[in-house]
Amino acid sequence: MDLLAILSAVFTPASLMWILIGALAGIVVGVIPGLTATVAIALLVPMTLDLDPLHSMLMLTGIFAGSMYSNSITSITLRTPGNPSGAVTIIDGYPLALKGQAGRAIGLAAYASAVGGVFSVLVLWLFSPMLASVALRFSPVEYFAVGILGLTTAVAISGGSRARALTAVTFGLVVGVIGTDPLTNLPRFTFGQSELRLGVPFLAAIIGVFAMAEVLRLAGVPGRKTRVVSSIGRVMPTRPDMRRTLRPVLRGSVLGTIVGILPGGGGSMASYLAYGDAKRKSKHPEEFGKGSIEGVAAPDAANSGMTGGAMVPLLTLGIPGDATTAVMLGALIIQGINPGPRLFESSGSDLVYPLFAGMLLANVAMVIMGLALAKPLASVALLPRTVLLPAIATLSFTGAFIATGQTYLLWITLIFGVIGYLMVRYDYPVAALALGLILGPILESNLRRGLMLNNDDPTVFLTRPISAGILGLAVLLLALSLFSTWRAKRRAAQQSSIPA
Amino acid sequence: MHGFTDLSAARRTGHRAVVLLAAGSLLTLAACSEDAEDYPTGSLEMMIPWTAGGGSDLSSRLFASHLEDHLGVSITPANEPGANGSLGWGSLAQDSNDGYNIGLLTYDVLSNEVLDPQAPAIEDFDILGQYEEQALFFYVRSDSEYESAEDLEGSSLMIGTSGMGGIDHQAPAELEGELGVEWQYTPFDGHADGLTNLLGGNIDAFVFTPNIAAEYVESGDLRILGTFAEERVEEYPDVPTFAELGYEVAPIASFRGIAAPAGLDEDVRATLVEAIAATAEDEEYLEAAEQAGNTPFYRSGEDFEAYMNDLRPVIEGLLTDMGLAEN
Repeated sequence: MDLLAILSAVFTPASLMWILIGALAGIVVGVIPGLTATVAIALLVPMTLDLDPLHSMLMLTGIFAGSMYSNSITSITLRTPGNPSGAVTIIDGYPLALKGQAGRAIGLAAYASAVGGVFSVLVLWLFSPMLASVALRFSPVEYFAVGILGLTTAVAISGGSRARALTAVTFGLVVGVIGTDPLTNLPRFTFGQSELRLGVPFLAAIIGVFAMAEVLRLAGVPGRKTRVVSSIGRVMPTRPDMRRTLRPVLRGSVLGTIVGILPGGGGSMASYLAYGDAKRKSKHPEEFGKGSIEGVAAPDAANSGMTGGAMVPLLTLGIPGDATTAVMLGALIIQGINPGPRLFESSGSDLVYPLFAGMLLANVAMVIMGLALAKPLASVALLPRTVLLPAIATLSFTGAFIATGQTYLLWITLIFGVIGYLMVRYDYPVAALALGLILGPILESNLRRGLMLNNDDPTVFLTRPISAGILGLAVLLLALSLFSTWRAKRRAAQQSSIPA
Repeated sequence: MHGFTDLSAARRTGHRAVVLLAAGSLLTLAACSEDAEDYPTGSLEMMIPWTAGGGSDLSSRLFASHLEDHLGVSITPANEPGANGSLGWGSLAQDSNDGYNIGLLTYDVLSNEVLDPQAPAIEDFDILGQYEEQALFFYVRSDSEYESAEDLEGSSLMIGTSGMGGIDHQAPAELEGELGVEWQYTPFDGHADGLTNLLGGNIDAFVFTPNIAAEYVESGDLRILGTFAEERVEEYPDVPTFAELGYEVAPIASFRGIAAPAGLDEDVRATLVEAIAATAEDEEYLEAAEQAGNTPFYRSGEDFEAYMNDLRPVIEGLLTDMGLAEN
């Protein structure tokens, strides 16, 4: 690893420009409800075909990092998260804004996001080369185990009902078998419709459940009378505030990075976990929900920490751990780059390590721009819906259509928009559905391959050490999740049995 | 709306509509014949039945960018991947045969005909020319106990492929029959995935075209045991052909060519065939293709079609022997 070569690849005018463009674009889409980082990246992927692979990835990771910060701005000022990951920030961010401290909350969110983002990129830089060298020996058996770990993560730490998360994941897996058999290339479950041989292309479905669904939802919500916070005040975080939130920010960064590394984790999960953790560890738990600065900082550090973590399985295994990295995988494949353990050997010095350095810079750029633009950004979400919704709907259809130009994809986007809308309405986790769609084909083909390579012996998944270890981790996660629910219930029962 | 009001007005005045329609159709006919003479007047669309960024995609985009110079109009590549190319070829076969729709043809079109009930046949296309051919090589890891093709007698191998019944499955299956051994096959997600698994020791062998694994042969990670080509390949003069070693294997090779929906106008077809032939000899193109690690090889439309027709029974026989196709 030659540091000089890495730096010279990043410190070119073009690279720096794409980092800035990405971070800025991320900050802007982060405050627009319905335009998540996933959708923004999906829209841009076809346009990155002519870019240098490094520049394309610098821009896309910049969008990822930038949007994880700015989604908190509107949570704080309008009680409306720019995307689902920012929802947790409302709990303490909005009360702070009502007290006239919106700027203080936004400043802390920016500081926490930067710490989380930088920390996770450092972990990515240190950890992924090691994982890649181990992964060189991975066979389909191990890949199947990683896929199972992803599904388990999605169900275990969904933050809501486990049964609903399981239902959503399973639905995604079932949809994934429609189309063409991945091993024989023959049609299946197509009911004689030649268009169905495409199956349900991931990009169109994701845009549907994330963006179209949001358009449908917002169209049906009567204009809520939220007290709009117009006075933001000073955004530069103060020293005492930074000192007081340092511990929750660091813990949130670690948690978020771990959730990101686990395939199946996502920004929402990371921020829920970090919020709960900060409340448990805080010296002032009674302030939470009434405007605690720790309650703003911890989840923001976590969902930014997730961004670097999520790049670990993407780059080292070629397995996307969430919807955003799944779309990035498409961007890499378009460039003729196959992420996986050999990527570090073949394009380490001209893509992977410069990308890491660029992601660090993107986080720095994000803080500076984020603080400078906080005030104008807070009003972006105030765009009248008559402008916002048609624009997002149009963009969604364009994004679905542009990849292959088939009208069939527009139907997929629309149908999945309705499905996503119903899921949100009845409180089913959409991210879990996306994960089922992503991991389904990976699981199926590697299960079948693993069996073919080992004379159809199913015990091989438990006798190969790495595979057994990964599956063990999956079981452990599930057990932990069940245990914490049980403990919470017992506590609640004990408290209610105390005579008042 | 405008035409509609014209017609309703014409109904009132009696025969104005007839005159209009007749004039219109005359104009259209004139435009048609003019089209064939002036062809091409607008840009062409080239269908690529593989994902953007893959080997076939890059090679055909490169060829198209030089074909543009010889046609004098721009060519827009459009990827329509899915079902081992069947989706793209299916839609190309149904496209308008006005000369403005062309597409990439690869070996898989012949395999799909046999394997896939919904795949189009080569009769559905006007075959315009072949521009590339790649020999197939048999790779094992350098630490493999098999040092030469003769060592494979009596071997039992797990071989990777990039899809059941594809060319890299047919070639080793042919050899397997000749050697009288039992090999097993596992399909992977394309060549990159297969290469990782071969290097990582999860499979014993893989049949690639040389550009895919060249760097690993150079670095000493992989060894070539032989080639399915008819004659030794220039880049690897020391690699024997299986034919010269006495194994009767049909010389199947991976190819890339250009086709259009069947039934092109004769002049249009001639224009396209000429432009493809000129591009295939174009020094600039040849240099760029060499740079990209492609192996240019030209066959005219007729020769290409005849070559594919000769291959058909061979492939059908192979796939039937492999138990993947019914007689």
